[in-house]
Amino acid sequence: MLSKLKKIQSDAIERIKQARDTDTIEELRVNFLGRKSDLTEILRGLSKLAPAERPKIGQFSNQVKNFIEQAILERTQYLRQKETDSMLESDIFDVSLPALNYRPGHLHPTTRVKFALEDYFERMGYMIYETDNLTNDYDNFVAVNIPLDHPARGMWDTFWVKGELKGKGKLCLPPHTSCIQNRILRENKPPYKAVALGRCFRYEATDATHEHTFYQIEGVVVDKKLNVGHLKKALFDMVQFVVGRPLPIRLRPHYFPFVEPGFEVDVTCMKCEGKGCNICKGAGWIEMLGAGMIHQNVFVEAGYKRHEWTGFAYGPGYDRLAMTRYGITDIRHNFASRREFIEQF
Amino acid sequence: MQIPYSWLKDYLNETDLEKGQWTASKIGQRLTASFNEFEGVEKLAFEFPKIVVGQIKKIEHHPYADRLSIVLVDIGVKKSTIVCGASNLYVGMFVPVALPGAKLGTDGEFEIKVTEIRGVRSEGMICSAEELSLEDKSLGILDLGKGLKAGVKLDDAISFDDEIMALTITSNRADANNVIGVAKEISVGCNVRFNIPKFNIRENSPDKIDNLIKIQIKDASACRRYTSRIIQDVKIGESPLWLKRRLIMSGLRPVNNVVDITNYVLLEYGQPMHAFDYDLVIGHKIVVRRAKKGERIITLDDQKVVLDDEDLIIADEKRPLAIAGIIGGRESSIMPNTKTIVLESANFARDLINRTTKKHGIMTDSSIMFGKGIPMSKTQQALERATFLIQEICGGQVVRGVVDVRSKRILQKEISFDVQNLFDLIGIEIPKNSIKSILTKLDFVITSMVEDKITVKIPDYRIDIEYEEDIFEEIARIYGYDQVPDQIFSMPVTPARPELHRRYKNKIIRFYFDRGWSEVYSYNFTSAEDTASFGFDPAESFELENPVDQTQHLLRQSLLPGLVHKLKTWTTSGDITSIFEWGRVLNKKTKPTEHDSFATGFIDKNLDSKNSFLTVKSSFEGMLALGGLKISDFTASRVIDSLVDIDYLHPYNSLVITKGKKIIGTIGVMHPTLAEQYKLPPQTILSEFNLHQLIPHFNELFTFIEPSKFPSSLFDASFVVDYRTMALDLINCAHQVGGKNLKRIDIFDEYCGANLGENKKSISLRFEFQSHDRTLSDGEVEEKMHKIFDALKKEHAAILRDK
Repeated sequence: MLSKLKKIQSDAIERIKQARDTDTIEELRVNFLGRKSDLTEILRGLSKLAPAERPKIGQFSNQVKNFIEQAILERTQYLRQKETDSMLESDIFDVSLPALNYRPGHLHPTTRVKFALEDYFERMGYMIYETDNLTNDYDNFVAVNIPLDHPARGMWDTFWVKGELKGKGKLCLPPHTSCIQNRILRENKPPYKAVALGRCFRYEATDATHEHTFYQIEGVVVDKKLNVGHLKKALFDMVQFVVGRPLPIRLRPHYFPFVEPGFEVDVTCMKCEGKGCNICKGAGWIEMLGAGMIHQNVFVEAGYKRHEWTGFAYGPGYDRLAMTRYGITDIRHNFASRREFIEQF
Repeated sequence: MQIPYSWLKDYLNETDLEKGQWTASKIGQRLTASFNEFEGVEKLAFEFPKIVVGQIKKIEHHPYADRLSIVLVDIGVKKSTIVCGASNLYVGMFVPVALPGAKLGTDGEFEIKVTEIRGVRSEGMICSAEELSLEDKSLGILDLGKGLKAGVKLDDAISFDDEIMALTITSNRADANNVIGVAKEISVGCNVRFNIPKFNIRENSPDKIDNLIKIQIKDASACRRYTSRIIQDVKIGESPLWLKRRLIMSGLRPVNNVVDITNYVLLEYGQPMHAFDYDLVIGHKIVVRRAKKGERIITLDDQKVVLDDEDLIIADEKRPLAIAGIIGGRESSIMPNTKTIVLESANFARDLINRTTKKHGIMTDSSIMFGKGIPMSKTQQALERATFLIQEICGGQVVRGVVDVRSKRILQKEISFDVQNLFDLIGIEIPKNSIKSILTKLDFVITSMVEDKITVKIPDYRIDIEYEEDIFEEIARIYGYDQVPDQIFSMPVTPARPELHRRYKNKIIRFYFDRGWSEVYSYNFTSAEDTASFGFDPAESFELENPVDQTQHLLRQSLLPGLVHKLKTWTTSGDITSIFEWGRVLNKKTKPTEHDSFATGFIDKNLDSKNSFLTVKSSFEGMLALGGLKISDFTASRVIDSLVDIDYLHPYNSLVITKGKKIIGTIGVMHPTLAEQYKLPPQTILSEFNLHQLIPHFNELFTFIEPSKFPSSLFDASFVVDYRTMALDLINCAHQVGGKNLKRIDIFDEYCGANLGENKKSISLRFEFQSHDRTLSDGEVEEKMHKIFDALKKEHAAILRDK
């Protein structure tokens, strides 16, 4: 009897080992462990054995049964894994193929900087305005302390448009976003802070560094007792945000009729960090914007009492900020807007 | 402006400069911080190969030519014989000598050789400044001055070994746009004493000026001051080299000694001057008056100018001599034979000069200076300086006395201020002794200083100083803005401006970007042709007075013409082009005249026009969804069925989206004729939206309706209709009669086939009915569907297809 059991065990082990798929294993289970199998026969016939042999045979039979069951389990697991593996390999596809229903879009670099600036100023609690493309003599000049025949008018080469707006003088394209200062001052009750973004135009020939159409962002902050130190800090923070690093800035005296004192603001050259290089032409500084403390005449023109309020204003060209940020050296790319340019952003 | 450093040094204390170890570039950097922008130091390099300094040893008449001389010149290594035609030679004179092999002319096209001139051997050429290309026209040989060594290279001898400082002077500081003004700023900024060179005029003529000339100002508001001197027996000729050198380095070309001197004084003092030939002033009377309408003058540069009665002129008894402050007339100008000159130094009203300059298009150094405004104190200072130089250089006798006709003296302005206001504006407390010292150095006179209150007299040449803030700037710029510490301001937080327009516009831009569109920028300027081609009336366009390009003189009414030009360039480098632009467009007739527009252009070379259109439409519908909208919230019809003329789109394969009478936008296949005109493929899709019309409809305040608990009934039906019918029209028609329980209608198939008959197509619709309070019976649904069938048949001749 024992030898018979041993034979069953070795046969079973041998055949389980040779099984190539889970179906065969199932057949073997029926053959070796099923109701009609020899092992089941033996277990069923235990009662007929002599009482002395019964425990020994019984124990051994159960051992063989467990052994076979274990072997079947292990082989099944092995074969399942193999089947899964081959199934996975059977439907491999190329995951590097282009995405479906997707084309990459591109934003103009100037728009990217516009969005970034708007986000920044919104977070700082500034109101945001947009300037018009068709403006007039009053808003651009008279309202910001540049009356008719003022010698400084030559500083702006203005595009004039045929026609006139009643009470506001000749029509023109705005040569600067300061065209909106009067409106911002009139619309709001101090204290307030606002920026205005928009297209500006200067009557000049276009070359690698000059463009007759460009973009400015005008900052206007009005409160009691604002001073040059506040202006410096506001500019430093903005520049740090745009270039991503805390680069020192400096104020140089300059003349703009709508501010007093007025400045041109230089930022430490991003490339050489002030040592002097070809980008900053050896100066270590790059001119970035004009700024200053709002002239009291501008307040008076907007209906404020002289010396009741103070304020500062600044106006960087944000297409130039974009050029600095992305390393664009020829400004003409902006309006040529060729595929090879736009698709890099 | 460009100024030779040596010239500035004439006005600065040399010991102080040395003590401070100041160099041109160090001074420049300081000026950038304290005054105006310094652009850099330049050296003017001239090279004169094979040209040496020669000294004239002997001058003999040429035996066979009256006008030529035979000159013996020491050129160091030897003495050469040179035949020369100039009349200003003298023995001992140092002159430039071009040796054989030297190349003259602007491009070196004229080579000097040993030649025979009228039978006499000539071994080179004695040169004028003109022949060396240093000036436009020379009257004689260039006199190199004294103390030179024969034989040295000309490069070394006339050394331009000076530095030129380039500065940008802002327009408010016209007073400083000259050598003395800049030197003054250096003196204050660098703490170097200002040094005023002294000069004396010898009034060595027996005549008195009042006996020689009468000067009358007829319009005192236009000419506030007119000063004049007369110098007799002057010799018009070449300027000395030092003067020429300074003019050349400042960017001017020498002419003759008198003109050069007036230019020199213009650069030095910033005061334009003019010189007349006394003998050509008819009646020896000068009148400053407005021109008579139609009066004419021929200017120094040979322009004939017809004057009007606003223009200010300098006239004699009979005729205009000069356009005041702008340019002189040819008839009274200084000629080589001029003997007696009348010098003019005057002050003309800047607005008037600006208007006349603009009107006649004559811009001169003088008109630019006057246009910026010149202080009255300079009038006589410059006159004296020029008189002195003329006497020194051109010889002659200075007539006794000065004519000085002026309107009333302008009182020196006084401004009082509180130093506390200064500290408040600049953001730093500046010590009072610094304030005092800075103001004094800048020629402000402190008339009182009581505690924090200071009163100062403004120097008369500082016409830019009007308010206390102007004085604060003066103090702060010298004290140094780098001293001002950064300060943080804080303000109460106020509610944000609603600003829905900009926010939604930005969302729309980002949405199209997400959908694979690329953004382009184009100019606001367009041509009448492009405007008209797209069906816009050029008469409704705003027009530039001064376009940069004469063909691009209109302001765009639509973004599409510009976008179509971009489409053309993009489509050459790719199969798919999907670009968009946003920006302002303008139309004289609309109200408001300006609005924000958003336009797209699409070409996919591998799609037909229908699928191209539907691709673009998907972006459009997605964009509407940003604002909680659907196309069905608007009226949408083909261009041909709409009440508006849209010439740039295909009349059928296009949608005009309107709300009431307002056009929201268009989307469609580019009109085939226009596409052909712009050489674009027939499946080009264009769309444009008026964001100022669209965005106000955006509304994300959705109202939630609890979903019905009762089942819905679906009903599918196919209709045969004319092939031009839009499914949307069937849906709109069905909704009108379908009752409130008709929840939605979907289009699930569109089919064209011969079996349907000619010009027919089939549209399959799925109708969904659902009630909020009960389950609908089949009978109810069928009853509604019959109503719908009838309406569709009546309105659109739609025939129900058998299933």
